[in-house]
Amino acid sequence: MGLPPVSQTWTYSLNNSYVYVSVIGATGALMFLAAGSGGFLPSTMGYTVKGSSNGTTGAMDGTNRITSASTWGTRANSSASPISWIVLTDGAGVDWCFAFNSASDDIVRLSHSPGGNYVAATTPTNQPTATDECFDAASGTWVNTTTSANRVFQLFGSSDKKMFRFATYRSSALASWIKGEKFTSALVSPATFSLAVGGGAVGAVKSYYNATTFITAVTVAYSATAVGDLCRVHANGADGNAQATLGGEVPGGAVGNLSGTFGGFSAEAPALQGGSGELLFQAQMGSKTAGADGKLGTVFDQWYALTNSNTVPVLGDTFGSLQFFAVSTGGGIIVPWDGATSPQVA
Amino acid sequence: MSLPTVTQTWTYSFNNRYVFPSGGTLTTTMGALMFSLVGVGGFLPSTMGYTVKGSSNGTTAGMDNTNRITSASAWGTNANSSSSPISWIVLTDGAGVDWLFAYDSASADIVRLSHSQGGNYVAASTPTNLPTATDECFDAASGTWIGATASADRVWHMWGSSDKKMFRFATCRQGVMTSLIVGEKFTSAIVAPATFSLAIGSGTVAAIKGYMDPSTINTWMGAYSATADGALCRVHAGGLDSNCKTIYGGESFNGWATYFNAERPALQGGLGDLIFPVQYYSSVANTDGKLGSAVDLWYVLTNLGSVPALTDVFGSLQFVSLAGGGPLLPIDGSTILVAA
Repeated sequence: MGLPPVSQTWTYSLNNSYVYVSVIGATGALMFLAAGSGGFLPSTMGYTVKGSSNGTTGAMDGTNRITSASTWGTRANSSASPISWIVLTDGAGVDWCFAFNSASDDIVRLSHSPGGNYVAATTPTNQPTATDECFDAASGTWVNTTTSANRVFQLFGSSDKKMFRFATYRSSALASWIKGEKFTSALVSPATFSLAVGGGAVGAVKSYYNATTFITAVTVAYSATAVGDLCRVHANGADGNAQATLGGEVPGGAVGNLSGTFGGFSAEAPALQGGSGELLFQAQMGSKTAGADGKLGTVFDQWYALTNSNTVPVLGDTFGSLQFFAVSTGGGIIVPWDGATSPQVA
Repeated sequence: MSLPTVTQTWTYSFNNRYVFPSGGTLTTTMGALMFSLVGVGGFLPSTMGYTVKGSSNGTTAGMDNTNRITSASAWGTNANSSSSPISWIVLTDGAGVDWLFAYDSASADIVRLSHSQGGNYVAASTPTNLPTATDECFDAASGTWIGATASADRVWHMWGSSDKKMFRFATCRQGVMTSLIVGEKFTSAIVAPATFSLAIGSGTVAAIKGYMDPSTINTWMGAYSATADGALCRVHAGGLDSNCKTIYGGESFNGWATYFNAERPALQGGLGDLIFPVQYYSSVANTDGKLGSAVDLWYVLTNLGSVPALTDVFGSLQFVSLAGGGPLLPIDGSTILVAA
């Protein structure tokens, strides 16, 4: 069948390898690559550095102190202790705060302020704060907790600087799919992205998925540590965080999700679609959060595949002439690829 | 939230009643529905302009453009056999599709509905028997049309599109919908070499027969069953002409109708139910995949499979829910009754 149109102009940084030394080294390598001096977001994509900390010196002063992988090396499981952090402002004015405030070396605390309100803490090396911060809980692993094996990082950025995506792999398994991006809103007034506190007016979502199959990507409940999209909204009279999950078109009954399992079509390439390729659907987001429930919106340039199995297409499969890439097994997450590079996942 | 856009120009015939008489039977009840729907002066041949291709009153028959269903009692000859006299009628719609209503069933509350996308129905050698078509789309008799209990009044509602390519009728008994039956066009999602151009019969039209006996969205979006819920369309796919058994589906988020926190989601302004168009899918070998999208048919995702309830209306009596959670159909401002 025909491949879907891509709506954004993407820049890619693909097949970046970290030769394993340590878990904290892997996280440092990812963060230096993504957000450090000369890194993908601040240099390649042009995100504005609002401030940073290398754990020793910190300030919201426009300086990028992540000058090497090792400068992303000060971690604490506390907002009142020195940590490595950086705040980047995207093309919509949204502040994205990456902070090494977590319980484990493989996890980074990612949050955002739709109003661009992050300020340094009284002790500037500590966790920055924002009155409209969108955060609920630490995610699951970013680089995998296992103390062995190389990592591979795939980075994606849109030309308008309103979307970033990271995929990290270890031994041919997805460790994490992390995004900070715009989307097409499905909100209906009086629900709005115009917040009562902080002045933000932008629909921006933080996503974390460590999905291994279609089921775990598309048909499960929100979990900050496993699957979910978080967005700050003003709904039901209050600012709140909508905890959303991926969804979209699914057959009913035993074929779809009503029974809780995906039995699927008869073949990986359905006959009604010419028997020539997987059936791809646009990813949507919906929330069950009280006071912020409903359809949140439509994800740009992300699809999922309905096939005959929960495990095909497999992780790393490509579509077209290297035009699309299966981030996860089962085709739960499919995104544009650069049309030239063979993907590595180990 | 805003209501969906209606794409067709619909004609409605609502709140038609059969007052169940002393001595009434399922046959007399079915006769009343069928005379109202397809008989002389009925909704499809007269109001909507479907062409009568032929008919049988069980005694005389022919594929001769004559409508012999001249009264409710003319729809009274039932047999569970294709080689016995029955009441039948073939109507041709605006796309050239033949729709065969035949009283060939195991029970008086069921009519055998089938179609020929190439418009190929011909009379049997004994014309009062079941007509045949080389490209007939049929798999098995449906469940009840009017409720299998021989008591209580019935109410039915009929819809027809101005292009004569869509008909729908819903029958109710004692506050319960017994069936929603459709014969209609839809928006195709199939990709070449899959096609509606059949190898046998020369049909090229996407036309689907649908049957639902819904109580909640979780039942009518269940697995395909000819006797409960599903739709049937003939396609050429996998190198063969086949009947594509489809199930209903559409957009969902983790757990279908029970997903949201409230009936009226806050992100949609807390003002109304979240409404999605119905889609058709098939899991059958050689016809699997997405068949297409229903026209002017929707469902509701809320926090329960049973809300909105049967006959809940939306807007200014613009849409009605025919089961818990849909299906939603357009209406004309009338109040839909489900009990006489």
